[in-house]
Amino acid sequence: MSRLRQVGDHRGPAPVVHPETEPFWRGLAEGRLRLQRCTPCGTVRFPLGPVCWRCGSFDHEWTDVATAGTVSAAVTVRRATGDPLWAGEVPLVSAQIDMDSAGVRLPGRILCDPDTPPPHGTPVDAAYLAAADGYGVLCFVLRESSQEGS
Amino acid sequence: MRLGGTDVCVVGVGTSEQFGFDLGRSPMRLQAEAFTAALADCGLDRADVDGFATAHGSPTGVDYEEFTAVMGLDCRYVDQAWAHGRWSTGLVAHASLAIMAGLADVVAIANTVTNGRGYARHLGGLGGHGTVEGLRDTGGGHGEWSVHGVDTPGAATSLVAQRYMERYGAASEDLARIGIGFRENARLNPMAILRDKPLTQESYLREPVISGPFRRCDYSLANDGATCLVLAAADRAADLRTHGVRVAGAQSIRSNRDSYVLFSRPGLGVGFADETPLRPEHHPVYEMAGVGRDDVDGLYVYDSFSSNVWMTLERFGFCGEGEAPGWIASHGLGVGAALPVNTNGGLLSEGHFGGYNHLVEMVRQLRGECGPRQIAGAEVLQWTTPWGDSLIFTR
Ligand SMILES: [Zn+2]
Repeated sequence: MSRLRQVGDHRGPAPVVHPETEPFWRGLAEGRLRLQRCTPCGTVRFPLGPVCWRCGSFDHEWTDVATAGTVSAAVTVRRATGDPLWAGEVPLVSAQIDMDSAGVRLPGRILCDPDTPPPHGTPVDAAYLAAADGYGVLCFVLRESSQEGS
Repeated sequence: MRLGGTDVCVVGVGTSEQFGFDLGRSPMRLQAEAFTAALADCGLDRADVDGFATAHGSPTGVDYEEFTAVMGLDCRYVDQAWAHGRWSTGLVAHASLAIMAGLADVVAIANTVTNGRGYARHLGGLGGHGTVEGLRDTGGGHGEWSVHGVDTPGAATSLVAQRYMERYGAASEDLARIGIGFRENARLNPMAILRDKPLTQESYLREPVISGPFRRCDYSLANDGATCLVLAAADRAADLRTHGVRVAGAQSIRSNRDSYVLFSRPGLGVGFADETPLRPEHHPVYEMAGVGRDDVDGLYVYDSFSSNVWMTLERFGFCGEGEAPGWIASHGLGVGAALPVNTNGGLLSEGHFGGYNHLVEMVRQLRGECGPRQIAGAEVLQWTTPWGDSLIFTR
Protein backbone atom coordinates (compact mmCIF):
# COMPACT_ATOMS: atom_id res chain seq x y z
CA MET A 1 0.00 0.00 0.00
CA SER A 2 1.26 3.46 -0.82
CA ARG A 3 2.21 5.84 1.91
CA LEU A 4 0.12 8.88 2.64
CA ARG A 5 1.65 12.27 2.10
CA GLN A 6 1.54 14.88 4.85
CA VAL A 7 -0.08 17.91 3.25
CA GLY A 8 -0.22 20.28 6.22
CA ASP A 9 -1.09 20.64 9.87
CA HIS A 10 -4.49 20.00 11.39
CA ARG A 11 -6.01 23.21 12.76
CA GLY A 12 -9.45 22.01 13.85
CA PRO A 13 -10.50 20.39 17.11
CA ALA A 14 -8.26 17.56 18.25
CA PRO A 15 -9.60 14.11 17.44
CA VAL A 16 -10.88 12.11 20.39
CA VAL A 17 -8.46 9.19 20.50
CA HIS A 18 -8.80 6.29 22.93
CA PRO A 19 -6.97 3.01 23.18
CA GLU A 20 -9.37 1.05 20.97
CA THR A 21 -9.14 3.59 18.11
CA GLU A 22 -5.54 4.73 18.57
CA PRO A 23 -4.06 2.60 15.72
CA PHE A 24 -6.11 4.56 13.17
CA TRP A 25 -4.94 7.99 14.33
CA ARG A 26 -1.35 6.91 15.03
CA GLY A 27 -1.20 5.17 11.66
CA LEU A 28 -2.16 8.34 9.82
CA ALA A 29 0.78 10.20 11.35
CA GLU A 30 2.98 7.34 10.10
CA GLY A 31 1.58 7.76 6.60
CA ARG A 32 -0.64 4.68 6.81
CA LEU A 33 -4.37 4.38 6.25
CA ARG A 34 -5.27 1.57 8.63
CA LEU A 35 -8.77 0.30 9.28
CA GLN A 36 -10.18 -2.67 11.14
CA ARG A 37 -10.77 -5.83 9.10
CA CYS A 38 -12.95 -8.57 10.54
CA THR A 39 -10.96 -11.75 10.90
CA PRO A 40 -13.72 -14.29 10.16
CA CYS A 41 -15.61 -12.46 7.38
CA GLY A 42 -13.02 -10.04 6.00
CA THR A 43 -15.25 -6.96 6.10
CA VAL A 44 -13.33 -3.71 6.40
CA ARG A 45 -15.46 -1.44 8.52
CA PHE A 46 -16.11 2.20 9.18
CA PRO A 47 -16.84 3.85 11.56
CA LEU A 48 -14.19 2.49 13.88
CA GLY A 49 -15.71 0.08 16.36
CA PRO A 50 -15.08 -3.02 18.45
CA VAL A 51 -17.37 -5.34 16.51
CA CYS A 52 -18.15 -6.26 12.92
CA TRP A 53 -21.49 -4.84 11.80
CA ARG A 54 -21.84 -7.60 9.22
CA CYS A 55 -21.15 -10.76 11.26
CA GLY A 56 -20.95 -9.61 14.87
CA SER A 57 -17.43 -10.88 15.49
CA PHE A 58 -15.08 -9.06 17.85
CA ASP A 59 -12.02 -10.54 16.14
CA HIS A 60 -10.22 -8.11 13.87
CA GLU A 61 -6.84 -6.88 12.76
CA TRP A 62 -5.71 -3.44 11.72
CA THR A 63 -4.96 -3.49 8.01
CA ASP A 64 -3.56 -1.00 5.54
CA VAL A 65 -6.14 -0.23 2.87
CA ALA A 66 -5.75 1.28 -0.60
CA THR A 67 -5.65 5.05 -0.57
CA ALA A 68 -7.48 5.75 -3.84
CA GLY A 69 -11.07 6.93 -3.72
CA THR A 70 -13.72 8.93 -5.50
CA VAL A 71 -15.85 11.79 -4.27
CA SER A 72 -19.34 10.83 -3.14
CA ALA A 73 -20.24 14.38 -2.18
CA ALA A 74 -18.13 17.44 -1.45
CA VAL A 75 -19.21 20.82 -0.12
CA THR A 76 -17.52 24.11 0.55
CA VAL A 77 -18.14 25.22 4.12
CA ARG A 78 -18.06 29.01 3.93
CA ARG A 79 -19.24 29.89 7.43
CA ALA A 80 -18.17 27.80 10.41
CA THR A 81 -20.72 28.38 13.13
CA GLY A 82 -19.84 25.34 15.22
CA ASP A 83 -16.35 25.00 16.61
CA PRO A 84 -14.58 28.40 16.88
CA LEU A 85 -11.35 26.69 15.77
CA TRP A 86 -12.78 26.38 12.29
CA ALA A 87 -13.90 30.01 12.01
CA GLY A 88 -10.51 31.14 10.75
CA GLU A 89 -10.09 28.17 8.42
CA VAL A 90 -13.08 28.66 6.14
CA PRO A 91 -13.77 28.42 3.32
CA LEU A 92 -12.80 24.76 3.29
CA VAL A 93 -13.93 21.75 1.31
CA SER A 94 -15.13 18.71 3.23
CA ALA A 95 -16.38 15.52 1.69
CA GLN A 96 -17.34 11.91 1.86
CA ILE A 97 -15.09 9.66 -0.18
CA ASP A 98 -15.94 6.21 -1.51
CA MET A 99 -12.73 4.19 -1.14
CA ASP A 100 -12.13 2.19 -4.28
CA SER A 101 -11.20 -1.18 -2.78
CA ALA A 102 -11.94 -1.13 0.97
CA GLY A 103 -15.69 -0.76 0.39
CA VAL A 104 -16.08 2.02 2.94
CA ARG A 105 -17.02 5.69 2.69
CA LEU A 106 -14.67 7.93 4.65
CA PRO A 107 -15.09 11.55 5.71
CA GLY A 108 -12.36 14.10 5.27
CA ARG A 109 -11.40 17.46 3.89
CA ILE A 110 -10.22 17.80 0.30
CA LEU A 111 -7.36 20.26 0.06
CA CYS A 112 -8.38 22.06 -3.11
CA ASP A 113 -9.73 25.37 -4.38
CA PRO A 114 -12.85 26.09 -2.29
CA ASP A 115 -14.49 27.85 -5.22
CA THR A 116 -14.57 24.60 -7.18
CA PRO A 117 -15.48 21.71 -4.86
CA PRO A 118 -15.09 18.54 -6.95
CA PRO A 119 -18.25 16.82 -8.20
CA HIS A 120 -19.36 13.26 -7.50
CA GLY A 121 -17.00 10.74 -9.02
CA THR A 122 -13.86 12.87 -8.94
CA PRO A 123 -10.79 10.70 -8.20
CA VAL A 124 -8.89 11.59 -5.04
CA ASP A 125 -6.08 10.13 -2.96
CA ALA A 126 -5.87 9.97 0.80
CA ALA A 127 -3.33 12.16 2.59
CA TYR A 128 -2.97 13.38 6.13
CA LEU A 129 -2.63 16.47 8.27
CA ALA A 130 -0.31 16.31 11.26
CA ALA A 131 -2.12 16.71 14.58
CA ALA A 132 -0.84 16.98 18.14
CA ASP A 133 0.31 14.03 20.25
CA GLY A 134 1.68 12.07 17.31
CA TYR A 135 -1.67 11.62 15.60
CA GLY A 136 -2.79 12.42 12.08
CA VAL A 137 -6.10 13.53 10.57
CA LEU A 138 -7.23 11.98 7.30
CA CYS A 139 -7.73 14.26 4.33
CA PHE A 140 -7.69 13.96 0.56
CA VAL A 141 -6.08 15.57 -2.47
CA LEU A 142 -7.25 15.61 -6.07
CA ARG A 143 -5.72 12.79 -8.06
CA GLU A 144 -4.02 14.98 -10.67
CA SER A 145 -2.27 17.02 -8.00
CA SER A 146 -1.19 13.99 -6.02
CA GLN A 147 2.52 13.19 -6.00
CA GLU A 148 1.85 9.52 -5.44
CA GLY A 149 -0.81 7.33 -6.96
CA SER A 150 -1.92 4.21 -5.19
CA MET B 1 -52.91 3.12 18.36
CA ARG B 2 -54.79 1.19 20.97
CA LEU B 3 -53.96 -1.02 23.91
CA GLY B 4 -56.42 -2.57 26.32
CA GLY B 5 -59.32 -0.94 24.48
CA THR B 6 -58.10 2.55 25.27
CA ASP B 7 -57.72 5.37 22.75
CA VAL B 8 -55.64 8.39 23.65
CA CYS B 9 -56.32 11.98 22.65
CA VAL B 10 -54.39 15.20 22.72
CA VAL B 11 -56.79 17.21 24.86
CA GLY B 12 -54.84 20.42 25.38
CA VAL B 13 -52.14 22.39 23.62
CA GLY B 14 -50.25 25.52 24.57
CA THR B 15 -47.16 27.53 23.80
CA SER B 16 -45.12 30.18 25.50
CA GLU B 17 -46.79 33.57 25.15
CA GLN B 18 -44.41 34.33 22.30
CA PHE B 19 -41.93 32.64 20.01
CA GLY B 20 -38.87 34.76 19.22
CA PHE B 21 -35.14 35.09 18.87
CA ASP B 22 -34.63 36.74 22.27
CA LEU B 23 -37.62 36.86 24.56
CA GLY B 24 -35.76 37.67 27.78
CA ARG B 25 -37.43 34.75 29.56
CA SER B 26 -35.77 31.70 31.08
CA PRO B 27 -36.44 28.17 29.86
CA MET B 28 -38.38 27.49 33.07
CA ARG B 29 -40.50 30.59 32.58
CA LEU B 30 -41.24 29.73 28.94
CA GLN B 31 -42.11 26.13 29.77
CA ALA B 32 -44.35 27.19 32.66
CA GLU B 33 -46.19 29.51 30.26
CA ALA B 34 -46.73 26.73 27.72
CA PHE B 35 -47.81 24.23 30.38
CA THR B 36 -50.21 26.70 31.99
CA ALA B 37 -51.67 27.58 28.60
CA ALA B 38 -52.19 23.92 27.69
CA LEU B 39 -54.00 23.23 30.96
CA ALA B 40 -56.17 26.32 30.52
CA ASP B 41 -56.91 25.15 26.97
CA CYS B 42 -58.55 21.94 28.16
CA GLY B 43 -59.71 23.04 31.61
CA LEU B 44 -57.56 20.63 33.58
CA ASP B 45 -55.78 21.54 36.80
CA ARG B 46 -52.15 20.97 37.79
CA ALA B 47 -53.38 18.34 40.24
CA ASP B 48 -54.85 16.35 37.33
CA VAL B 49 -51.43 15.92 35.70
CA ASP B 50 -49.82 12.71 36.91
CA GLY B 51 -47.41 12.18 34.01
CA PHE B 52 -44.72 14.38 32.51
CA ALA B 53 -42.34 13.93 29.58
CA THR B 54 -39.72 16.07 27.87
CA ALA B 55 -36.74 15.76 25.55
CA HIS B 56 -35.02 19.13 25.72
CA GLY B 57 -33.43 19.22 29.15
CA SER B 58 -31.04 21.70 30.74
CA PRO B 59 -29.32 23.98 30.20
CA THR B 60 -31.19 25.28 27.14
CA GLY B 61 -34.41 23.53 28.20
CA VAL B 62 -35.71 22.18 31.49
CA ASP B 63 -35.07 18.76 33.04
CA TYR B 64 -38.11 16.80 34.13
CA GLU B 65 -37.52 16.88 37.88
CA GLU B 66 -36.77 20.60 37.90
CA PHE B 67 -40.09 21.16 36.24
CA THR B 68 -42.19 18.99 38.50
CA ALA B 69 -40.56 20.59 41.54
CA VAL B 70 -40.93 24.17 40.37
CA MET B 71 -44.43 23.63 38.95
CA GLY B 72 -45.62 21.77 42.05
CA LEU B 73 -46.56 18.60 40.16
CA ASP B 74 -46.88 15.12 41.65
CA CYS B 75 -46.20 12.67 38.81
CA ARG B 76 -46.24 8.89 38.87
CA TYR B 77 -44.91 8.63 35.29
CA VAL B 78 -42.01 10.65 33.87
CA ASP B 79 -39.83 10.34 30.80
CA GLN B 80 -36.93 12.36 29.44
CA ALA B 81 -35.29 11.72 26.09
CA TRP B 82 -32.12 13.18 24.56
CA ALA B 83 -31.96 16.94 23.93
CA HIS B 84 -32.59 16.60 20.23
CA GLY B 85 -35.59 17.33 18.06
CA ARG B 86 -36.05 13.74 17.01
CA TRP B 87 -38.24 12.58 19.89
CA SER B 88 -41.57 14.15 19.05
CA THR B 89 -43.06 10.86 17.85
CA GLY B 90 -41.40 8.91 20.64
CA LEU B 91 -42.63 11.12 23.45
CA VAL B 92 -46.20 11.11 22.13
CA ALA B 93 -46.22 7.37 21.44
CA HIS B 94 -44.70 6.49 24.81
CA ALA B 95 -47.00 8.83 26.72
CA SER B 96 -49.96 7.29 24.89
CA LEU B 97 -48.79 3.79 25.77
CA ALA B 98 -48.28 4.85 29.39
CA ILE B 99 -51.88 6.05 29.55
CA MET B 100 -53.15 2.89 27.81
CA ALA B 101 -51.18 0.73 30.25
CA GLY B 102 -52.45 2.61 33.28
CA LEU B 103 -49.12 4.18 34.23
CA ALA B 104 -50.67 7.64 34.11
CA ASP B 105 -54.02 9.31 33.49
CA VAL B 106 -52.93 12.70 32.15
CA VAL B 107 -49.48 13.25 30.63
CA ALA B 108 -48.07 16.68 29.80
CA ILE B 109 -45.35 16.75 27.13
CA ALA B 110 -43.47 20.03 27.42
CA ASN B 111 -40.36 21.17 25.58
CA THR B 112 -38.39 24.37 25.65
CA VAL B 113 -35.76 25.65 23.27
CA THR B 114 -33.49 28.61 23.94
CA ASN B 115 -30.57 29.72 21.80
CA GLY B 116 -27.15 31.26 22.25
CA ARG B 117 -28.28 34.67 21.09
CA GLY B 118 -31.37 34.46 23.27
CA TYR B 119 -31.77 33.48 26.89
CA ALA B 120 -29.27 30.65 26.62
CA ARG B 121 -26.45 33.20 26.54
CA HIS B 122 -27.05 33.68 30.27
CA LEU B 123 -26.86 29.97 31.00
CA GLY B 124 -23.31 28.71 31.37
CA GLY B 125 -21.94 25.42 30.18
CA LEU B 126 -23.82 25.20 26.91
CA GLY B 127 -22.66 22.62 24.44
CA GLY B 128 -22.96 25.29 21.81
CA HIS B 129 -20.04 24.44 19.60
CA GLY B 130 -21.83 21.53 18.05
CA THR B 131 -18.74 19.41 18.36
CA VAL B 132 -19.55 17.02 21.13
CA GLU B 133 -21.34 14.39 19.07
CA GLY B 134 -19.33 15.28 15.99
CA LEU B 135 -16.26 13.93 17.79
CA ARG B 136 -17.77 10.54 18.58
CA ASP B 137 -16.08 7.59 16.91
CA THR B 138 -19.17 7.37 14.74
CA GLY B 139 -19.48 11.08 13.99
CA GLY B 140 -22.57 13.10 14.74
CA GLY B 141 -26.04 11.76 14.16
CA HIS B 142 -26.73 14.33 11.47
CA GLY B 143 -23.50 13.37 9.69
CA GLU B 144 -21.18 15.82 11.42
CA TRP B 145 -17.43 15.20 11.41
CA SER B 146 -16.16 18.06 13.51
CA VAL B 147 -12.55 17.06 13.06
CA HIS B 148 -12.99 17.53 9.30
CA GLY B 149 -14.70 20.94 9.46
CA VAL B 150 -18.24 19.57 9.18
CA ASP B 151 -18.99 20.72 12.69
CA THR B 152 -22.67 21.65 12.53
CA PRO B 153 -25.83 19.79 11.52
CA GLY B 154 -26.17 22.34 8.72
CA ALA B 155 -22.78 21.66 7.16
CA ALA B 156 -23.46 17.93 7.48
CA THR B 157 -26.89 18.18 5.90
CA SER B 158 -25.48 20.29 3.09
CA LEU B 159 -23.58 17.14 2.08
CA VAL B 160 -26.92 15.32 1.92
CA ALA B 161 -28.44 18.05 -0.22
CA GLN B 162 -25.35 18.18 -2.44
CA ARG B 163 -25.49 14.43 -3.06
CA TYR B 164 -29.21 14.58 -3.79
CA MET B 165 -28.88 17.54 -6.16
CA GLU B 166 -26.03 15.95 -8.11
CA ARG B 167 -27.74 12.56 -8.27
CA TYR B 168 -31.15 13.81 -9.36
CA GLY B 169 -30.31 17.10 -11.02
CA ALA B 170 -32.10 19.45 -8.62
CA ALA B 171 -31.17 23.13 -8.60
CA SER B 172 -30.98 26.00 -6.13
CA GLU B 173 -34.36 27.18 -7.41
CA ASP B 174 -35.82 23.86 -6.26
CA LEU B 175 -34.31 24.23 -2.81
CA ALA B 176 -35.64 27.80 -2.66
CA ARG B 177 -39.23 26.67 -3.26
CA ILE B 178 -39.25 24.88 0.08
CA GLY B 179 -38.26 27.87 2.17
CA ILE B 180 -40.48 30.17 0.12
CA GLY B 181 -43.48 27.86 0.51
CA PHE B 182 -43.17 27.65 4.27
CA ARG B 183 -42.53 31.39 4.53
CA GLU B 184 -45.79 31.99 2.68
CA ASN B 185 -47.55 29.72 5.18
CA ALA B 186 -45.93 31.60 8.05
CA ARG B 187 -47.49 34.84 6.87
CA LEU B 188 -50.87 33.44 7.98
CA ASN B 189 -49.61 32.40 11.43
CA PRO B 190 -49.41 35.15 14.06
CA MET B 191 -46.97 33.05 16.15
CA ALA B 192 -44.51 32.52 13.30
CA ILE B 193 -41.25 34.33 13.99
CA LEU B 194 -40.67 35.19 10.31
CA ARG B 195 -44.31 35.99 9.48
CA ASP B 196 -43.37 39.50 8.31
CA LYS B 197 -40.32 38.57 6.24
CA PRO B 198 -41.38 37.74 2.69
CA LEU B 199 -39.09 35.45 0.71
CA THR B 200 -38.82 35.25 -3.07
CA GLN B 201 -36.64 33.36 -5.51
CA GLU B 202 -34.71 36.59 -6.07
CA SER B 203 -34.12 37.35 -2.40
CA TYR B 204 -33.28 33.71 -1.71
CA LEU B 205 -30.62 33.63 -4.42
CA ARG B 206 -29.13 36.90 -3.13
CA GLU B 207 -28.37 35.31 0.22
CA PRO B 208 -24.77 34.23 0.67
CA VAL B 209 -24.04 30.53 0.56
CA ILE B 210 -23.19 29.10 4.00
CA SER B 211 -22.29 25.50 3.19
CA GLY B 212 -22.65 23.43 0.04
CA PRO B 213 -25.89 24.48 -1.64
CA PHE B 214 -27.40 25.90 1.57
CA ARG B 215 -28.20 29.55 2.07
CA ARG B 216 -29.60 31.07 5.24
CA CYS B 217 -33.19 30.26 4.37
CA ASP B 218 -32.40 26.56 4.11
CA TYR B 219 -31.68 26.53 7.84
CA SER B 220 -34.30 26.36 10.55
CA LEU B 221 -34.32 29.11 13.11
CA ALA B 222 -32.37 29.26 16.36
CA ASN B 223 -34.89 30.73 18.75
CA ASP B 224 -36.55 30.79 22.18
CA GLY B 225 -39.94 29.38 23.10
CA ALA B 226 -41.83 26.43 24.53
CA THR B 227 -44.68 24.07 23.67
CA CYS B 228 -46.91 21.74 25.63
CA LEU B 229 -49.33 18.98 24.67
CA VAL B 230 -51.62 17.33 27.22
CA LEU B 231 -52.69 13.73 26.57
CA ALA B 232 -55.46 11.72 28.21
CA ALA B 233 -57.63 8.70 27.48
CA ALA B 234 -60.50 9.31 25.08
CA ASP B 235 -63.18 8.79 27.74
CA ARG B 236 -61.51 11.43 29.89
CA ALA B 237 -61.28 13.70 26.86
CA ALA B 238 -65.02 13.50 26.36
CA ASP B 239 -65.56 15.39 29.64
CA LEU B 240 -63.28 18.28 28.74
CA ARG B 241 -64.04 21.58 27.10
CA THR B 242 -61.88 20.91 24.05
CA HIS B 243 -62.45 18.49 21.21
CA GLY B 244 -59.95 15.71 21.77
CA VAL B 245 -57.73 14.91 18.80
CA ARG B 246 -57.04 11.20 18.53
CA VAL B 247 -53.50 9.82 18.44
CA ALA B 248 -54.58 7.37 15.78
CA GLY B 249 -51.29 5.90 14.62
CA ALA B 250 -47.59 5.92 15.31
CA GLN B 251 -44.40 4.37 14.04
CA SER B 252 -40.96 4.84 15.53
CA ILE B 253 -37.73 6.17 14.20
CA ARG B 254 -36.07 3.50 12.12
CA SER B 255 -32.49 3.02 13.17
CA ASN B 256 -29.88 1.14 11.15
CA ARG B 257 -26.78 1.89 9.10
CA ASP B 258 -28.90 3.25 6.25
CA SER B 259 -30.61 5.71 8.60
CA TYR B 260 -27.61 6.85 10.61
CA VAL B 261 -27.38 10.27 8.99
CA LEU B 262 -30.66 11.57 10.24
CA PHE B 263 -31.43 14.14 7.56
CA SER B 264 -30.72 11.81 4.66
CA ARG B 265 -32.91 8.89 3.60
CA PRO B 266 -32.14 5.24 2.93
CA GLY B 267 -30.63 4.63 -0.48
CA LEU B 268 -29.20 8.09 -1.01
CA GLY B 269 -25.74 6.82 -0.16
CA VAL B 270 -24.74 9.29 2.55
CA GLY B 271 -22.88 8.37 5.71
CA PHE B 272 -22.54 4.60 6.08
CA ALA B 273 -25.52 3.89 3.86
CA ASP B 274 -25.40 2.01 0.59
CA GLU B 275 -26.27 3.91 -2.55
CA THR B 276 -29.24 2.08 -3.99
CA PRO B 277 -32.50 2.87 -5.76
CA LEU B 278 -35.16 4.02 -3.28
CA ARG B 279 -36.78 0.87 -1.94
CA PRO B 280 -40.44 1.05 -0.94
CA GLU B 281 -40.91 0.70 2.81
CA HIS B 282 -43.90 -0.50 4.74
CA HIS B 283 -45.34 2.28 6.89
CA PRO B 284 -47.59 0.66 9.50
CA VAL B 285 -48.70 4.06 10.80
CA TYR B 286 -51.45 4.09 8.15
CA GLU B 287 -52.89 0.70 9.06
CA MET B 288 -52.76 1.56 12.73
CA ALA B 289 -54.68 4.74 12.06
CA GLY B 290 -57.09 2.99 9.69
CA VAL B 291 -56.37 5.40 6.86
CA GLY B 292 -54.44 5.43 3.62
CA ARG B 293 -51.87 7.90 2.41
CA ASP B 294 -54.46 9.43 0.11
CA ASP B 295 -56.65 10.25 3.11
CA VAL B 296 -54.06 12.60 4.57
CA ASP B 297 -55.38 16.17 4.51
CA GLY B 298 -52.14 17.83 5.54
CA LEU B 299 -48.54 16.81 6.02
CA TYR B 300 -46.18 18.02 8.72
CA VAL B 301 -42.46 17.49 8.14
CA TYR B 302 -39.45 17.90 10.42
CA ASP B 303 -37.86 20.68 8.35
CA SER B 304 -34.74 21.52 10.29
CA PHE B 305 -33.20 21.91 6.84
CA SER B 306 -35.03 22.51 3.59
CA SER B 307 -33.84 19.31 1.93
CA ASN B 308 -35.50 17.24 4.69
CA VAL B 309 -38.73 17.80 2.79
CA TRP B 310 -37.38 16.02 -0.30
CA MET B 311 -36.22 13.10 1.82
CA THR B 312 -39.53 12.78 3.62
CA LEU B 313 -41.80 13.09 0.58
CA GLU B 314 -39.87 10.31 -1.15
CA ARG B 315 -39.41 8.08 1.88
CA PHE B 316 -43.14 8.09 2.61
CA GLY B 317 -44.05 7.64 -1.04
CA PHE B 318 -45.84 10.90 -1.68
CA CYS B 319 -43.74 10.97 -4.84
CA GLY B 320 -41.13 8.75 -6.47
CA GLU B 321 -37.37 8.71 -6.19
CA GLY B 322 -35.83 12.01 -7.24
CA GLU B 323 -39.26 13.48 -7.94
CA ALA B 324 -39.70 15.64 -4.85
CA PRO B 325 -38.44 18.91 -6.37
CA GLY B 326 -40.83 18.52 -9.29
CA TRP B 327 -43.66 17.50 -6.97
CA ILE B 328 -43.17 20.66 -4.92
CA ALA B 329 -42.95 22.85 -8.03
CA SER B 330 -46.22 21.51 -9.41
CA HIS B 331 -48.22 20.90 -6.21
CA GLY B 332 -47.10 23.76 -3.98
CA LEU B 333 -46.94 23.62 -0.19
CA GLY B 334 -49.61 26.14 0.79
CA VAL B 335 -52.93 25.80 2.59
CA GLY B 336 -54.74 25.69 -0.75
CA ALA B 337 -52.59 22.89 -2.17
CA ALA B 338 -53.92 19.38 -2.68
CA LEU B 339 -51.65 18.37 0.20
CA PRO B 340 -50.74 21.37 2.37
CA VAL B 341 -47.37 20.98 4.11
CA ASN B 342 -46.31 22.70 7.36
CA THR B 343 -49.16 25.19 7.50
CA ASN B 344 -47.58 26.73 10.60
CA GLY B 345 -44.53 27.79 8.60
CA GLY B 346 -42.40 24.91 9.86
CA LEU B 347 -39.12 24.98 11.69
CA LEU B 348 -37.85 27.14 8.84
CA SER B 349 -40.27 30.03 9.43
CA GLU B 350 -42.45 29.53 12.51
CA GLY B 351 -39.48 28.49 14.59
CA HIS B 352 -37.51 25.45 15.68
CA PHE B 353 -39.39 23.95 18.58
CA GLY B 354 -38.34 20.37 17.93
CA GLY B 355 -41.40 19.60 15.82
CA TYR B 356 -43.72 19.90 18.82
CA ASN B 357 -44.92 23.16 17.28
CA HIS B 358 -46.04 21.14 14.26
CA LEU B 359 -47.97 18.82 16.58
CA VAL B 360 -49.63 21.81 18.26
CA GLU B 361 -50.59 23.08 14.80
CA MET B 362 -52.02 19.69 13.84
CA VAL B 363 -54.25 19.70 16.91
CA ARG B 364 -55.48 23.22 16.19
CA GLN B 365 -56.10 22.36 12.53
CA LEU B 366 -58.14 19.31 13.49
CA ARG B 367 -60.19 21.45 15.85
CA GLY B 368 -60.77 23.97 13.04
CA GLU B 369 -59.15 26.84 14.93
CA CYS B 370 -56.65 28.07 12.36
CA GLY B 371 -58.53 30.92 10.71
CA PRO B 372 -56.99 32.04 7.41
CA ARG B 373 -54.61 29.09 7.31
CA GLN B 374 -57.26 26.49 8.14
CA ILE B 375 -57.17 23.35 5.97
CA ALA B 376 -60.82 23.01 4.94
CA GLY B 377 -62.39 19.88 6.41
CA ALA B 378 -59.15 18.60 7.96
CA GLU B 379 -59.76 15.15 9.44
CA VAL B 380 -56.47 13.27 9.04
CA LEU B 381 -53.07 14.90 9.53
CA GLN B 382 -49.70 13.21 9.42
CA TRP B 383 -46.40 14.02 11.12
CA THR B 384 -43.32 12.67 9.33
CA THR B 385 -39.54 12.90 9.45
CA PRO B 386 -36.74 11.88 7.11
CA TRP B 387 -35.71 9.20 9.58
CA GLY B 388 -38.96 7.38 9.21
CA ASP B 389 -41.06 7.98 12.31
CA SER B 390 -44.60 9.23 11.99
CA LEU B 391 -47.77 10.09 13.87
CA ILE B 392 -51.28 10.34 12.51
CA PHE B 393 -53.76 12.52 14.37
CA THR B 394 -57.43 12.34 13.49
CA ARG B 395 -60.38 14.51 14.32
ZN1 LIG C 1 -17.38 -9.89 10.19
